[in-house]
Amino acid sequence: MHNAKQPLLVIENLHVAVDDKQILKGVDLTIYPGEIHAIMGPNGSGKSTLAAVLAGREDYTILQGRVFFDGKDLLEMSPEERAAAGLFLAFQYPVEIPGVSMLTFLRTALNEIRKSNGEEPIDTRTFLQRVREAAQLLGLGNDFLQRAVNVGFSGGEKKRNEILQMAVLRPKLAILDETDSGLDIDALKIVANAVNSLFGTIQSYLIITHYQRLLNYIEPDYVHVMYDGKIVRSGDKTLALELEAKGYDWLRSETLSSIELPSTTT
Amino acid sequence: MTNLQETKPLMHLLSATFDSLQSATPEQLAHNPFLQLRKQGLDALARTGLPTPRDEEWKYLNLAPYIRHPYQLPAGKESLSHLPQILPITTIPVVFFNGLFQPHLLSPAHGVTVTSLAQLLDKGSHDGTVLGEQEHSIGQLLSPEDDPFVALNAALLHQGALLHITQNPSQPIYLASITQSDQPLFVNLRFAIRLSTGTAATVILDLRTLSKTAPTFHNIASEIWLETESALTLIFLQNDTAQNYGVLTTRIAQTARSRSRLYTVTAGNGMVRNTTSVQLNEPEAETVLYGLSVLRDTEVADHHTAVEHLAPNCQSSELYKSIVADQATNIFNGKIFVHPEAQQTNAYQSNHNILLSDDARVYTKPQLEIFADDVRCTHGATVGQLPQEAVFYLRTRGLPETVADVLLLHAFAGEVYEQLPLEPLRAWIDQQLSHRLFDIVDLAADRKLVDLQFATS
Repeated sequence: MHNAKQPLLVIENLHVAVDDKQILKGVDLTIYPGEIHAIMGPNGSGKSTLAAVLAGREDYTILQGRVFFDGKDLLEMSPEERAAAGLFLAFQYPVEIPGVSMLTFLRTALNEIRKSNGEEPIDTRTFLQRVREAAQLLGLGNDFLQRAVNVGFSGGEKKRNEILQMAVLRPKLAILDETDSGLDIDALKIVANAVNSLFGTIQSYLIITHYQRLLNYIEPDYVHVMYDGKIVRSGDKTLALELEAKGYDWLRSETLSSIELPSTTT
Repeated sequence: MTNLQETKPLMHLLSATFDSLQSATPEQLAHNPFLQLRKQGLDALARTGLPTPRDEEWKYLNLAPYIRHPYQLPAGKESLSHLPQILPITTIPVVFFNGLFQPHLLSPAHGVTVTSLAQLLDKGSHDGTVLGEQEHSIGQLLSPEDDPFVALNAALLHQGALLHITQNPSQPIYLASITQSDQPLFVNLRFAIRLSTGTAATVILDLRTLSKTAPTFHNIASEIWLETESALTLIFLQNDTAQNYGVLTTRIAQTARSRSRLYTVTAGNGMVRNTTSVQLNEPEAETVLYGLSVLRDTEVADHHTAVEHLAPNCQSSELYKSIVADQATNIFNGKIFVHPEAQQTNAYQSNHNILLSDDARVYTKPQLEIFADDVRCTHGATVGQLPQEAVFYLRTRGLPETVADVLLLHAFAGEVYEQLPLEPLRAWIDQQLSHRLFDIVDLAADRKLVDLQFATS
């Protein structure tokens, strides 16, 4: 159905190491505009490493493979170039920026991205309107916008703040790295609702999660299972349910048997 | 004076003092407290000499490169026709040009009496009771025995001003030294400031040199009395150029329920030493000491502070921060003394530093001596680098690395001066520092100031 379109993200045979330890061992993934993908997998399988590498974190070594974003070589781009090209990562652990207010932060970010794309700075009224709408969407008051970025925010506020930034910056592809962890059910619904309502403005999502919970509210087109640095299985949303029902141990035994490793542990 | 002394740095400046003391009659010496102060200064200097890194209080500041120049004291009648527009505010200007008081720049101002020290000295007949009362006279707070630069200041005692604030002045008082000379210039100034009961005033102490080729060395000693319920905001501007060196010694004595707030911005002068001490002599006095250094090249800033809690229920809080790049050095030494009678003292001190290069240096030393049992004292010092996690976070939101760096540094620095009461001055300082931060993080030349507007939004 999407053959006519150019893929938004193409990951080919990506191998990545950190501190001489190989984390990703050949990841392949293609995301077209208009698709929602989910990557599930146990802790330590490489999900967050993949997110960090896509966002441009520098303490990883690319051993092999290629990544294209919107037709451009992503691995050649700086983190800010990736942001300007329309890639966004919602952090699993958002960072505190003391002394910088949310408004200052959002306006600086938005205008830097606009500048990179040859656009004029956003006018104050449009900006404020966009930010207030985003805050409302996330159930955050206007006073929230006066506070320093993530400083003194609760865990839930930090996660909602990531989605707020996404709503203001309007990327093409948003990667949500365990955005559901640490959210109570009400906050989870708010976040899911925001993600769903922005779909369209934001062309595609890559949702990284440990649990199936978030996927009750955001329906993925594709679910991928990552294990030991590889995507070992892909399917539709029913795969998430299967995984939830059987647990990751099922996957472990499946994987091990499928590649016929001799059992070295008891 | 021996020939040996004359070959030592700065000592050649003392010959006029020597002459004035030699020509004075014993009668004059006995009755002229100014002459006595000069003599005390000379004697103290003869004993100690100028400080070297072997002196504990000057351990990390090597003065040799700054004092070696063939400085001259102000001569003649140099006059500045008009005050250059440096600050974006109107002030009561108490200006010294090439070390000489410029009375014509000062029009009569409401609430403050300004007396030229040189005028008092030249009269020769003055009884020494400066500012009306013996206890508020020059030399009461700063003794030549305390410090070699106070001794030097006393020995060279001539130019300066006495400020008596009797009602709230309508504008900040601008105590400025401006120099412009082809020759190395030594500017020795003495200030005495007294705030009468219940008054409030802002004083800006600014050091500027318009010289391009020759350095100016400032040696400034200030004695400040805050009477009951008076409030002083004192702002030290040290954001001039690399040829501007200064040693500033300031002592503030506070009585009951008085408040002092000091802001020091060091970001441009080649070498600055601030020796600042506050005595909280009566109950419920309060002091706030805020200092910021943003240093590059080989700039050196040395902040020595001492707060003495001598009475119950007083409060002091200190926040000093530095951003140090290139081969620059920042030194902080913060002493807090809580005397036995100073119960219910609240004393806070923190010193935070960011190093931006491998060659930058920071020395920090908190020193607390507490002799009362019912007190609350906290202190903390950190030395670190730009938090790379935060830089990465900002970059993933589209900020180029340089902008991310400046945003973080600006936020770090801003805490020091965001409370500064004069908004146009605060904005001006902010702008100056933002420019400097952008220069320091080596921004591409085409970036415009427009992008810096986040600073004040």
